[in-house]
Amino acid sequence: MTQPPDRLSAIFAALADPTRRAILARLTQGEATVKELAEPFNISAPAVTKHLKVLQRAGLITQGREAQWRPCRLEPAPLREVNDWLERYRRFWDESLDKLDVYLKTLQTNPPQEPTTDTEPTDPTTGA
Amino acid sequence: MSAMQTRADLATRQFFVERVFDAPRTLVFEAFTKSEHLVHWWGPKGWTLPVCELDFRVGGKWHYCMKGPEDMESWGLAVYEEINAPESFLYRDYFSNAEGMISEGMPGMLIRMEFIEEPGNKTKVVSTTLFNKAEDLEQVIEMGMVEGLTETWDRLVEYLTTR
Repeated sequence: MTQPPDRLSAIFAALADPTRRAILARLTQGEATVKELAEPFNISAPAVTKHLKVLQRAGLITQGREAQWRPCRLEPAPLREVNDWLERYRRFWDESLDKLDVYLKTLQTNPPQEPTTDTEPTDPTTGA
Repeated sequence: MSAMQTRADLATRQFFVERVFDAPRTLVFEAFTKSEHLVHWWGPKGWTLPVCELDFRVGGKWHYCMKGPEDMESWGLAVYEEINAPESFLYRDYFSNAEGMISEGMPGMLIRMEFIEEPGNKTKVVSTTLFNKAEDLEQVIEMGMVEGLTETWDRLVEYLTTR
């Protein structure tokens, strides 16, 4: 199974639409038929089918073969890659900014001051 | 939970971070642009910033090393492209080595930092990361995978429903 070189572009295009994101979110809870997927979004089955085709092309979902049901299933791998990276990037910022918050509080409680009488004596080796 | 808000706009390949700090804008701006401040906080939990050489002017560079658990090192090189103190600055962030050479074939990210005054002497920081091309992001993702990244599946639902 090979991925086209622009697979991420297809994934991003698929994710750009709020209805398609909602469909994916629904499918994280398990398989669903086209009819079931159409219900909460208040759109027609053909409209949902159109969205499903985009998701399928991006490799994000697969659809069963049974004529009557054809349940849709989430294919987690491509999305997980994108999500994992974004999560890692998000965490970088979250943890950095947590530290900044603490640091700013410290700065404002104890602003850096000119040396006072109770600070350490100057280091003779630096000649300062 | 922190008060940080994030949003990913996958269609335009942008990632937004927003957070309000209880400090005046000039101080928050300095915290992002002076090495004497950055060494105290930049980097994830448990990481330090043993190298932080910063020349804050347009065309100037910020060469830094983040040191993590088990002496893991991550070198970065940023180039400042626009500066409007104390309101905003724009820089390009690259992966680099200890000598400050940009890692070839590694993607760069364009990051805009904005500092907005809020009532009560607070400051809202908005960071927008732009990935030029899908391929850039793809490479960054692959690097993450190489480092043995594993995250929980639950995050996906949360992520997909944040917007």
